[in-house]
Amino acid sequence: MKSQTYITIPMYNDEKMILNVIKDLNKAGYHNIVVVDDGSKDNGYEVVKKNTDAIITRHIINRGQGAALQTGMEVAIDRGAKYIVHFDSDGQHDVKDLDHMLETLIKGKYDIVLGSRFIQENKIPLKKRIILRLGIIFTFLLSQIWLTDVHNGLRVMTAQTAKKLDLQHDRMEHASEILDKVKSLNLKYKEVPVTIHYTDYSQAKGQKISNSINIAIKLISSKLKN
Amino acid sequence: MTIQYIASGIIAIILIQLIIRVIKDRTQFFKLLFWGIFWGIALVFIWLPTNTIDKVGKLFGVGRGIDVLVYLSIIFLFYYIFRQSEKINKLEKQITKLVREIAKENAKK
Repeated sequence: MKSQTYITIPMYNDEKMILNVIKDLNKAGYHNIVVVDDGSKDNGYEVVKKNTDAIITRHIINRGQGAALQTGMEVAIDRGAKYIVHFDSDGQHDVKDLDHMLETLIKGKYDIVLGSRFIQENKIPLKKRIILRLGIIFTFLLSQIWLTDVHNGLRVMTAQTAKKLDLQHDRMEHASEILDKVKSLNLKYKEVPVTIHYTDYSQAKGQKISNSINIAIKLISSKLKN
Repeated sequence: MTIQYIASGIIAIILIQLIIRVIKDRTQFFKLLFWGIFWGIALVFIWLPTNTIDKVGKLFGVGRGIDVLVYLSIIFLFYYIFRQSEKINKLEKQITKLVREIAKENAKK
């Protein structure tokens, strides 16, 4: 199972955390790791290349997390991946959740398994909690899919699902795009509880409220066009 | 009347700048022709007697002729912005595709 699983990690200025993330994944038995450096300004690319056996590639200019994920998925599919995982490079995801998510995907014959930080108790900062709740309502209005967590970056899916997703939104809107496609493509999905580690580091890198508004505007305009 | 002189002055400055640019780079002649006609028409409208423009206004069911011009300009500008944003989106997608292809090639090494 693990040998057919490819972990896709979009990386942007995460030089300090990325080695720990890859080390933890390796320890847990995941060795097919695709890191896409999304035009970082730090030395993350060199750090990964020198110190790990992960597949590393680079966007020569920054194109956004959605674009980096799509690149990572295409590389993984080219290499014969059967299962694909979306994993963050800033250390907020917990490797321990992966086994359970993969098992759920395979045993339940799901197309995609989505992580949720609201099913179990997680210490989520209030501001973040409010934005995420609004996101749930917004996603329901836009895509008619009701989930407990709509912007969780931890996802496990089959390679066929990854092919179908074909992300068109380069930036943060990709998270909503995925859910929209889960609904419109009638994919079999399940949410499972995951642990998110909120550190000062991940908080400083996280989404801002102004960015949420920006995401909403872009999603509405793309919906109107379709 | 003052506004007509100010507007004409601005148009004159724009046209002079255009002419200077074309003298420096003759390949931009078509640009001069296009904008020359555009601003020329604008000048004619500015100096047309008020009642003549107002006749046009009545034709459109709007009281004053100048209002017709303002409405048309807004419609044109909205359309122009829409077209530009479409173009930018398309360009962004093409850039991503290009960057991705390079990254995928890079991953094979």
